[in-house]
This record gives sequence, C-alpha cells and structure tokens, in this order.
Amino acid sequence: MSFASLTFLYFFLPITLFGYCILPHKARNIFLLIANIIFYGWGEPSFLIVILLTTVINFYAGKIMLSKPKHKKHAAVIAILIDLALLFVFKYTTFFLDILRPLVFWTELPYVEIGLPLGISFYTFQVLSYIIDVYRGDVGVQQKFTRFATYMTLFPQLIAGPIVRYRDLADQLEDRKQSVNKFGEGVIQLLVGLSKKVLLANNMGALWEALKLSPSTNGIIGAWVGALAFTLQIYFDFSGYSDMACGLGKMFGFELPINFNYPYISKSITEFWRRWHISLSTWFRDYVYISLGGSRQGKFKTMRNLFVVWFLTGLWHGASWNFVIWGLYYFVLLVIEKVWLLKQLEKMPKLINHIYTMLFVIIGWVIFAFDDFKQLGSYFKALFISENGIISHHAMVLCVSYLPLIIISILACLPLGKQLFSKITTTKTGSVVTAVLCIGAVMLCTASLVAQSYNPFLYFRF
Amino acid sequence: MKKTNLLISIVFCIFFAGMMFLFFIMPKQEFSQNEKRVLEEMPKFSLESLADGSWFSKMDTYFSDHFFARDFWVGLHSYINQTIGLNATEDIYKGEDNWLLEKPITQNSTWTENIKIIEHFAQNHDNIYFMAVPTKGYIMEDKLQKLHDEYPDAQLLNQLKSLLSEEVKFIDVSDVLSENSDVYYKTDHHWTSKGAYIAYSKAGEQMGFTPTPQTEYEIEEYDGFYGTSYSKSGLWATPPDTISLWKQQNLNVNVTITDENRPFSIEYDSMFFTDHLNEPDKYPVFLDGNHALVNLKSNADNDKKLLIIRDSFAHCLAPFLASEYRDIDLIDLRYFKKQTASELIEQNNYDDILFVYGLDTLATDRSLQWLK
Repeated sequence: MSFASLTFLYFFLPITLFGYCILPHKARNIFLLIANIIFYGWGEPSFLIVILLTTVINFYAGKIMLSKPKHKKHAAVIAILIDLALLFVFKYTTFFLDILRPLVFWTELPYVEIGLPLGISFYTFQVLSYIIDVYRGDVGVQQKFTRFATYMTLFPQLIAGPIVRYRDLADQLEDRKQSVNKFGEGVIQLLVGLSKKVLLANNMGALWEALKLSPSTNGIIGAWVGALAFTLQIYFDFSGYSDMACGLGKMFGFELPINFNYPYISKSITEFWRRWHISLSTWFRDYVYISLGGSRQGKFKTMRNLFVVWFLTGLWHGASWNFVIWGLYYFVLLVIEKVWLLKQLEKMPKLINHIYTMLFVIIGWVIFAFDDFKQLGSYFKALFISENGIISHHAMVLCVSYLPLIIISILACLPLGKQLFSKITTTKTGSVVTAVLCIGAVMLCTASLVAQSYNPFLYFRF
Repeated sequence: MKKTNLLISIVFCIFFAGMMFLFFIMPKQEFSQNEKRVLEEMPKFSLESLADGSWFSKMDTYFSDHFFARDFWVGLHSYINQTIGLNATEDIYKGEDNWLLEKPITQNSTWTENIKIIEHFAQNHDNIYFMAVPTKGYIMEDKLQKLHDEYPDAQLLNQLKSLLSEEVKFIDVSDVLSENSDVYYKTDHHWTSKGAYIAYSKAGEQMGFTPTPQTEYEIEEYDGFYGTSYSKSGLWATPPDTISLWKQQNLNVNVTITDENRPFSIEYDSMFFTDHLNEPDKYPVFLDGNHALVNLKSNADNDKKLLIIRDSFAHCLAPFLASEYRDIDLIDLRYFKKQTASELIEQNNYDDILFVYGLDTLATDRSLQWLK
C-alpha cells in the first residue's frame, strides 16, 4: 500500500490509529503487527511469506546467539548469509544470469522473471543491522517475537525507509509514549511529506516523462529542464516518503531518524552525501566501511573500502549496470574531493560551490534514470550537443507551463519553508494559520489523488 | 506550539474520520455520468482473489470510485491546475469564451497503417468519397491561449489528400468550417448541426446534388448539453451548450438499427432520438449514438443508395444526406464485424460510398483494420 493513496489515508490510517489508541499498551504491539501485515500484504500478499520467513529466521538466530555463546558466530554468519541470499535471489538473479550468459557460454542459462518483494532492500538491511549489532554486543537480543516482528514489518518505514537500525528502535519497541504534542507534529510532518510527493514529485515526474521520450528533438534547454525535473522528482518523492514515515511514526509514538537534510543546498559532493539518504549512508558506514577497516589501514585500503562501499551503494539502488556506474561515479567524485578538491572549493565563492555540486548531482541523476545505455547515451548527447537548437516548440510549451511549479519546487528544496513556518507558529494566530495550511494541503493532495488513479512510487522497487 | 499541535490533532481526526464516515454512509452510485463508465462494485471476497492480490486492487478502485464528493475533488484538481499554469499540459485546453478544446493529435504508426488500409480498399471499389473532419482545436485555434502544442491537422489533411487522390474523391471541409462560426460545440468534440450542414453543402459540389437551402429547415434548440470535452476537462463551472435539431418538413425517414449482440433490429420513425435530450450528453439524439449498422429509408425523390463508413461525426451529417439518397446504410467498423464492408457492398448496389471520419479517429483508432 502506498502512503500517497486514498485507501491508505482515508481507510487504513484512521482505522489503525483508532484501534491503536483505544487499546491498552500491552496489546498495542500485536495490534500494530497485524496492521503491518495487512499494510504489507495489500496488493501482493504472496510476498508476505518472504518477509515473515526472514523475521522468523533472524529472530531465532538472535536467540541462539544468546543461549549458545559457542555458536554465536555460526548463527550470525548463517543468518546474514540467508538474508543476503534472499535479497540476491529476488533482486539480482536476472541481472547476474544476464552477466554470466556470455561469459561462460552457458547459453542454456534460463531466463527467469522473479517478482521483487516490496521493500526487500530496506528490511534486509534493517535485519542485518540487528544481527550484526547483537554479534558485536551493541544491543541486546530481542526475546519477544511480537516485538521483533513489529520492528521488522513496521509499516511507516517498511517500504521506502528510512533504514532504521534495530538499536535505534529497541527501547521504543518496549515502551513508547504517545502524546497530543507528538501526534500534532506527526500530522504536520505527514502532510508535508504527502504534499512533497503528490503536489511536487508527481508533477515533476510528469514533466520528466514528457521530456525524456525524445531528448534529441527537445533542444538543449529542454534536455536540461528534463534532467532538473527528474532531480526534483526523485528528491521530493523519496524525502516526501521519508517525511511521511517519520510523521506516521510520531503519530504512533515512535521517533524515527531523519533521512534527508536539504541535500540540494550542499556545497560539495561530500556534503551532499551527508545530507542525502542519511540512513543508508550511515548503514554502509557502520556495517561495511568500518567492518572493512575504515580509513585506519593506510591509503590503499581506505581507497579499496570506499570503492566497495560505493559499488554496493550503486548496486543496492537497483539490479542494473547504470546504478553501479552511478555509485562508482560518486566514488570517483568523492575521492577527488577528499584528495584535492575540497580544499580548493573552500577558497572559492559559495555560489561556485553550489553550482559545481548541483551540476554533478544532476548529471548523476541522468545516469540513475536510464537502465538502457542507448537511451542514456542519447540523453547525454542532448545535454551537451545542440543538434536541434535551443528548445523545440513542444518542449517550450512544457517548460513554460511547468515554470511556476519548478520555481516552487526549487524553493521547497531550501530550508526557507521551515524557517517561515517556525516564525508563523510563534505568532498569536499561529495555530489557526497552521491549521488552515494543513487543511489546504490535505485538500490539494486529496484532489490530486482522486484525479489521478495512476500513482507509482519510484522507490517501491528498490 | 502545544496549542498548535492540539488543534492540528483535532482537525486531522475530524477530517479523516469524517471523510471515512461519509464514505460508508453515502449511497453508492452505480454509474458515473461524467466518466461514462460503470463504477466498481464492492469486490466479492474469496481466498483466490485474496491470494492473487486482485481483491486488494479492486478494493482500491472501489474506494476511489466511491470517494465522497468525487466530482468535487476532480473539479478542484482541474481548477488548481488551471491556476498554476498547467493548461497547456492537460488533455483539454481551456480557451477563451468557455471553449474547451482537445489537445492536438499525437501521431503514431496507426495513422500510416490506416491510410494504407483505406488506399487498399479504395483500389477495389468505385465512387468513393472521403470526408475527414479536422479537430475542434485546429479550427478554433484563435480561441486558444497562445501557449499550446501545434495542431498537425493541415499537414495530416494534405497527406491524406495526396496519398488518396487517385482512388477517392476528397471532400475538403476544412476551409468552409474555418470560415463559419458555431460549427463545433464548446463542450463536445463533435461538430454542431450547423457544422454538419456546411459539410453537407460542400459535399454536394462533389457528389453532385444541390443542397437543401437552410431556410427549408425548422430548427429546434435544446439547452443543457454537456459533451465529452466537458466530462474530460473537470472544469465543472463551464456553461452548457445548446444542441439544435434541423428538421425538414416533408422528409420522412424510417430508421433501422442493427447491432451484433442483439438478435432483433430496432425500428424508429425519426432520425432524432429525443429521449437522449434528457441526458447531459445529448449528442446521441442523432441516430441514437454508436451502432454497428444503421439503415435510413427516406421518401427522397430518387432511388440512389449510399453507404457511409463512419465514426460518430456522421450521426449528425447523415440526416442531411437523407434528402439526397433514398436508402442509406451507415456502418461503424468498431462494431460491424460479422460481415466485411466488401461483402455488404456486393449484396447492395450502392451508387456511392462515403467515408466520414474525425481526424483523431483516423490517427488513433485501430478499428479500421476491419475494413476489407
């Protein structure tokens, strides 16, 4: 189920909240677990088996690690291997068969179509954080199945993150406080995220879809506006979803970590990755980079570790070469910055830093957008070689029509809105103004959702 | 901040719970007039439909189809898009003076395939006339806002003319329609009776008849016509059109409607099915809308027979032609499939064959593949 759907907002959420609030604290986890399962199973019930199997295996692996210290390592390794194997089978089988086929002349290698269980990339990383942390002794073993299963399937962050480490939620699974204050904050955050997704991301997505079809005919400006539209779409889509997750979490009494911190105001690529999809970067830092020795074993090993991290980061985003290239593209940029460029950037005017960062981020998103190299090639050609003039009539119509929304979207990438909002809330009529803004947002989003039955979320398949 | 959060919490709970409550208590409509489709029924629960996920997707559709005040939300969305400047990205452009205009046709392979099919058909038959009706947006371009995609109609019509010139006599109605006003409805993609009359007069030049003068018709007008452009646009505040029936005093016509899924034919003693005037979309008043085969037998002063291969633009045109041909068959290839057109032609000695198609049907509809 998508958050940005009428079914979720007007049926699942009110019913779940109502049930949750009237139940005594003891019964809340089990109720939430049932709600999670309905949420996950809505649409693709068959994949419930996979996530529930993962839950059971890792729960018992944890128990064994506690009860049989001798076999602690074995249990951890086996659990990790099973988790990774499931992720690999469902997400990467087709990709690797395609690679192997020409390499080893196994022309008989079958062509398989395996459906991707919703959110498998997210929940696999979450459960790995549990096993690794238990092994390292950073967190205690969860003895209650309901609590563990509730963590695994927690619907606010189940499908598109943030990737919440078990240790960050361990205490909250046991005891968490709901309050009107938190609830209200959660509602506002939910609506901010919903507006980002429905009002901005979907419209930018429509512009991108219209411009990506025949990049060569759109002209050079058309191509750049298209790339900008995708850049905006992916940010609002993903950060909107994370905002909704945090907001929903708060409404149920959870505190989830922030996932995006205005990434497009960064002054370097290094800074960008500190602000973009924070929970994923943190995960790779804690469980891959540091496990490999981090930066403490000399330049060569640091480089190798960075390479591994960025190769995997790329691959995590999708089973296709363009994602790997996208990851390695950031590896190269980050190494250049680390070795030389960061110091140079500090001496330059801020504006140059911003332009440099966004330019490379936008180019990165173009690589990200096409898993077909032919299309990718022709889009790059359109970006840098003006074969069909500055802008075609059709592209001009699109760009001018969307201009107000593009400007609003760019402003929404800045912390301006938040600053303005915190000023409003301190005034006398702040409450009323906020309420009116919220109602306005709900009405706009509802109108948009009713009007469009087609509403795919970009990150569902990752 | 605390006060704000309390207020927001209350507002949120009332709004969302209220909307859900309204969904459950409101009676469910079966049919959406604006969308011209049956709305999703409450899906039947079964283990199979649960396992394959179809129950869930049907539930989603059921929720959104019966969402409280659905039309209001759709309208709100359309007006917001207008306000934010997205007019030129919509399927329906809003023009001056409440004109709602379809966006330009986007060409694809269907267009060239259709032309080939018609060319092939025309090589095997004689006395073929071809009337392609340009789109409303092209003819009414001066009512559009400056910012919009280009209409390819002129180019498409020229292509048609040059490709089909040897086999068919092309009736070019583009210029005469442009020269006149009120030839299209503001809220529907079809032409008005006046538009069809102008086309009929133009057809006379090539088909060899003297059109009945306009003064011979008694014109009845009916208000409150909301057409397809209106339904698609979501711009509910647009005022309705007036639909007019042009009736010729001494012309008596018997209409026989045959559909392939109905065992018997329907007979009617007028070309105007006035029951449809009670509906918001009144265009089916002409020949009862879309049917596989419609036969018109008139008391016209000759025994000429005409076959019209057509889309819905012909519904409004055929009544004028009934005074020039005693016997007219109209076939719609979307539904006429038990026989081929050639077989029908062999059984009947048609004097003339007339194609009447809107340009957008020619460019997008694949039913012409049945033309054999």
